[in-house]
Amino acid sequence: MATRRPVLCPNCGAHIRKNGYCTNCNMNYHVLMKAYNTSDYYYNQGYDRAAARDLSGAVASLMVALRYNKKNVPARNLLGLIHYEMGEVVEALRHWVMSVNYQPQTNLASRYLKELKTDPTRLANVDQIAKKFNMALDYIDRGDHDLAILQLKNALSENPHFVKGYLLLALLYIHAGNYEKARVALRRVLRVDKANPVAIHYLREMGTSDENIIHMRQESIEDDGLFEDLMVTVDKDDEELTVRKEEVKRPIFKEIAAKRNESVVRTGEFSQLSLARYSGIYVLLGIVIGIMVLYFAVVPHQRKKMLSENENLIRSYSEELADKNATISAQQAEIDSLNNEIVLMRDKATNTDALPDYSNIKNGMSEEDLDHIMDTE
Amino acid sequence: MINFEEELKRFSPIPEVNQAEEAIYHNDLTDISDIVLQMTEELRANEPSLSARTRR
Repeated sequence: MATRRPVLCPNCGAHIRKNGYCTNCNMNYHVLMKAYNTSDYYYNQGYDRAAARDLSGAVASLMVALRYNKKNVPARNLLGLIHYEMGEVVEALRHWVMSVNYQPQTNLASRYLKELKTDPTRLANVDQIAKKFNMALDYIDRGDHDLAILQLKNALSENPHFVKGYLLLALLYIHAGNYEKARVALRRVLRVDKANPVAIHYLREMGTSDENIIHMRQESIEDDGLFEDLMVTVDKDDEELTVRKEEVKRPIFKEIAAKRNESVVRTGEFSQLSLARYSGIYVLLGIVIGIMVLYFAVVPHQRKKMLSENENLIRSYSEELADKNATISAQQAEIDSLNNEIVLMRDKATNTDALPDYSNIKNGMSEEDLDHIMDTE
Repeated sequence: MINFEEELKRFSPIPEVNQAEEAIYHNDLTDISDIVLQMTEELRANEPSLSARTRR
């Protein structure tokens, strides 16, 4: 008999009771699943719209998908990608970070974030674009529309997919009555986002027919002249080239530097020293200097220290030896005196071992003693 | 005709990179599950018998 796997709550992961409610969050499982299915439906719709380059429509669908299920990771990732494409990188970052937060493993957003992190110049560029756009809004508030247009053009020349920038630029041109340039800006919007409702609204207000709007999407934007005031024409080897003003600045500075160098008498050719090329020599030099320091500073000190230690050791041994010698000589003297005593004692002993001279005794006896002896015998 | 002032209201400042962290933390997106949970909590607070019914 096959065992049924327990049904888990998609919201909190706890078990679902038989009545369909979660044991932890009391959420109705069937309601939640319906919401999640609807979210997936809107995600698919958003995906189709994004594939057809209807980015605004895709954003609307994906936002609905997230309203049904904010943990819909593919919807989050795609929404981030669309914002990134439209030049709104901070919005893209927001969705990708949330996506990684909901699903840390095997998430496409991790790769996007990693790629952005490894390219700091890209982030700095994005920051500059955002600053320029915000500055343009400030200029508009102050009534400096020309400066605002200049800032927007600068921002757009750095990111040609920045939809919001084009829309604001188009609005400023419409306000100034320059409808042709407004159309050019809006055409660029439609190249990025084919059904941008704001762009279509502006074009319709300017009297552009729907057919023309459809036709505008296919028109080339290469030579539309939107950034012509940011470009200058320079002669280079009898050839006329159109480059950005900022790019022209660099050769001028180079020329000035070259002229300055020409006035100086050059004694030889100098090239920039590559520190990396000589790293091996530096290491070798370091080792040699280290050995020399060791030989001239550390070794003599160590030798002196060892010599003084040896001298101390010899002195202590000599003192100990002298003490021992004194002890030995004292004991030798004692031995000699004891030997003399022994000789004397031996001599004395040999003298006492000789037989007594009775004659002397007899001679020494008195008459009475002698008589007494004779009587007893 | 396009009303410049009205149209201008569509455009708000773009968050800069140093404001990204703030934008992430203030992500107040509410989905269906949040709404249902909130409704359930409110109902349980008002009708204590409901919690017993759902636990059966």
